Amino acid sequence: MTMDASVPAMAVILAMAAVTLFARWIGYYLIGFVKVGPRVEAAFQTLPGAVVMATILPIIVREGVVALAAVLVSVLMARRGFGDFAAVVVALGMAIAWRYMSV
Amino acid sequence: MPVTFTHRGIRDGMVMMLPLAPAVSLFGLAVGATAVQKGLTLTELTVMNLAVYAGSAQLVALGVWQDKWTLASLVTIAMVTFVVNARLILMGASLRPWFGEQSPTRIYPSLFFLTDANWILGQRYYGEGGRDIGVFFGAGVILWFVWGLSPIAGFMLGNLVTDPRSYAIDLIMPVFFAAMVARLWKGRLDSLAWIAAGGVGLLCERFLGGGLHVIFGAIAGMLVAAALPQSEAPPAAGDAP
Repeated sequence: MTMDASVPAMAVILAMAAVTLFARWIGYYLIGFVKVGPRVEAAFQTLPGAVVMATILPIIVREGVVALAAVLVSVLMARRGFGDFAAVVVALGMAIAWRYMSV
Repeated sequence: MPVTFTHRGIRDGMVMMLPLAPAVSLFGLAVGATAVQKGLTLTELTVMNLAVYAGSAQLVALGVWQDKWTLASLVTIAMVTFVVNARLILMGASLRPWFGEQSPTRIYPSLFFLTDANWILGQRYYGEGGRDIGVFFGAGVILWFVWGLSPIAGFMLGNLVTDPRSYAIDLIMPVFFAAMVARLWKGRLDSLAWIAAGGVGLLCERFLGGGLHVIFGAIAGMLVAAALPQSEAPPAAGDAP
């Protein structure tokens, strides 16, 4: 890997950055013109969980029961009022031990 | 509680995101390895990380990276990037109730740092009564910083972690994201919407690939939530017929 940069590659990167920034801005901008009713509000309220489920379920299925167990430990701890950091540390500790024992 | 934008919030947001830093660094090394294969230079990759700041989209876009560029291949890679990032449109829209009253000159620059992790963190923080936009901003900036430095770190240090799976670094993101949304669950409506999102996400990942599963899963979840009877939610003021 060298330090130089080619003009066409930089133009491509600029185009990628522009469409990404557009995606970051346009939803926020356009929703400002819409009167949000209760159904749209309910849809937006459920969105974080929906994004997370769509993101992590394929990973859980791929990594198997250790991933499922780690996520369940993390969720249970969070529901009991533990902070993110504690939940992540305990769940990962369990997963590390699990993988170490099953080698 | 008034909507604010404070230094304290920025600091809190940065601290809250620190558990994710190892996972982001590792993902950065993976994208860096792909970029090297495709012939990108360290400068190009660092500029891409800092300017695009969207790992999954960058990874998919690198799959269509070319040695010689034409206008058509530039438009193709821009479209691929946009489609994988289309979920950011929904995420940005969902921030309007929180950010809406602040000055646009502060909000639009902050939205540059919008990404999955600081958005999820921000939604949880807002759902629990927090209103300081600095938390969203700080969380985004720290991840941007780690993401931007990861190619240089990979270039200088090489791959120090030879087996990330034995340290469970591959599970940090799923575990951290799950912990962040666990307390946002409010009952049957969320259960059904999240099951739909997970199911559609899984199917799309299996049969479409290419980073489209999140947006399709998210849309499925939103449609289920919008279609279900809204009796569990308190009626909005001024919504009577």
